[in-house]
Amino acid sequence: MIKVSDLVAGYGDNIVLDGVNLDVESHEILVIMGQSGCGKSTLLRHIIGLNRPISGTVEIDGTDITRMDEAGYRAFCRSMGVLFQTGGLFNSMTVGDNVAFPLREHTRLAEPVIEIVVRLKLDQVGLRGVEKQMPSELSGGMRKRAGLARALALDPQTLFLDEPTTGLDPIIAAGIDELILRLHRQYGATMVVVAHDRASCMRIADRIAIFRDSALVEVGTPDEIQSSDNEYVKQLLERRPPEEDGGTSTSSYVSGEATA
Amino acid sequence: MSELLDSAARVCSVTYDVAELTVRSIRHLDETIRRHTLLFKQFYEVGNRSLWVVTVFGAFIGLILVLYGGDQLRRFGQERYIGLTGLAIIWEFGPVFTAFILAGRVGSAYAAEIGTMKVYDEIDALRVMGVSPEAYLVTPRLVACVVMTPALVVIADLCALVAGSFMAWVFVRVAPNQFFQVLFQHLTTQHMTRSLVKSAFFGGIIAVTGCYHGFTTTGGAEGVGRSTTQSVVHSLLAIGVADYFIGRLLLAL
Ligand SMILES: Nc1ncnc2c1ncn2[C@@H]1O[C@H](COP(=O)(O)OP(=O)(O)OP(=O)(O)O)[C@@H](O)[C@H]1O
Ligand SMILES: [Mg+2]
Repeated sequence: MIKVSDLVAGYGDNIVLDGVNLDVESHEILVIMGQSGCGKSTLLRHIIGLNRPISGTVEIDGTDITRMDEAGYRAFCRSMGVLFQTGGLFNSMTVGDNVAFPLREHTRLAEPVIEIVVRLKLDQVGLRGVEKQMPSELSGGMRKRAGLARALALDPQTLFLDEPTTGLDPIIAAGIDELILRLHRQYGATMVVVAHDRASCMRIADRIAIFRDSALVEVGTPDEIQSSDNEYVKQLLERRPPEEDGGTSTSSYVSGEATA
Repeated sequence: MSELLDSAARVCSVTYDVAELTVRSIRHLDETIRRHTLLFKQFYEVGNRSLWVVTVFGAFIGLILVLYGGDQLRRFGQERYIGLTGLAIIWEFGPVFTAFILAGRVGSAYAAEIGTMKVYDEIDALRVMGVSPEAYLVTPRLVACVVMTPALVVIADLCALVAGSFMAWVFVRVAPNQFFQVLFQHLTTQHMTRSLVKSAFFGGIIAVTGCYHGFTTTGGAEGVGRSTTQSVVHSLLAIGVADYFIGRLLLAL
């Protein structure tokens, strides 16, 4: 279980998250939604211990992640898989070596076995015959899927996926959604997924957390979120452009530019 | 005045960070031995990247030193001591110029490689896969530079001496055997050890400075360019300063 309490986070003087409280139960899929730049990726980076909070805490199964010793953190890393928004593949290695990396680091599997696992994982995300290619030879969507295959390599108990389906065609995206649900069914994995697509969120989520600017505005089951009467939540789900409000906010700038 | 203090404070804090990075990477030495393929790759890279430059540069240093030295000695009619320029090569010119070349070729490449990895989230990916970036990236590079720099210095010295003795023969009519005889009369093992210890230190400085600038890269491709140049400038400065202090220290021992 992951418990985020009063998290204040930012970069230098720029506060990005201001007092976020969020629990992720074991074996649930929590989907995070919100506008671009509202701090979703930043929240993930804090939960996985890459950034240190300005104040507040992140607890993983009752241990404060910033106080974990090296061995504890390594164990936590072994039990989780992370897909970065940019994919985060090692550009100096082939796709196959990328997916094999966690296996070589954390297991003593023999090389032929690793090869089989790599092919299996790439197959799961719909990539075939790309083991020998370099990440730079793949398309953006393929890179993302290769990153997902690497995150799945160790069959993690916890998965953090930053926009796994953004930039993929609807068919592949639906396939990834299926994969997420299947992993959830088979391994009971806990997942924190950042996503923008409404249909896919509703399909995979046990609960949805909606962020605005630097705060969490609403958390609830898909049904609760869909029947929410929060204006921003409705706007986000119904894909409505921001409303005009006297030309002082950035929203008027966006819509003004669109009509120009 | 306050600007001066600011820069001084910055230099101190960077030096401290670099020292800390060095200590942390040395702690991971055991992991590097486990991942020895990475280490061998780095050995190869350091040697391969700079072997030819070091050879050619070394030869020209030898030629130039003997040219000027021979010119001066001839005024006093002491050409037979031209072999002593070899001491300058072994003490100072070999280690320092090789280090300069390595700072430009190897240190800058480290900053660029690691900086690019930083910009593309690869460093974070390493960390969340439970691998310490210091152990994976810095320690092999540090070890490779500490071992390979003295080796390259020996090659540079040899080239400089051979080219220098040739120049002495042509320019001041001192045969190579006389050149080396004078040199070996005055050269002690202690001198050579000092030169190699110094080179190893320079190698360490180059590796850690390059890696440090890679890790502190921010701001996309432009940031990578910036940290690459900075790593070269800082390495050169650090080599200059370290040369003096290591020289003092080794002479005092
Ligand atoms: N490395 C960084 N340094 C400084 N500021 C940053 C950095 N990363 C993000 N920010 C700032 O933090 C804010 C939140 O960024 P974040 O990446 O968390 O947004 P996001 O919700 O993931 O957006 P998106 O949906 O576009 O991925 C942004 O305003 C951004 O300017
Ligand atoms: Mg993001």
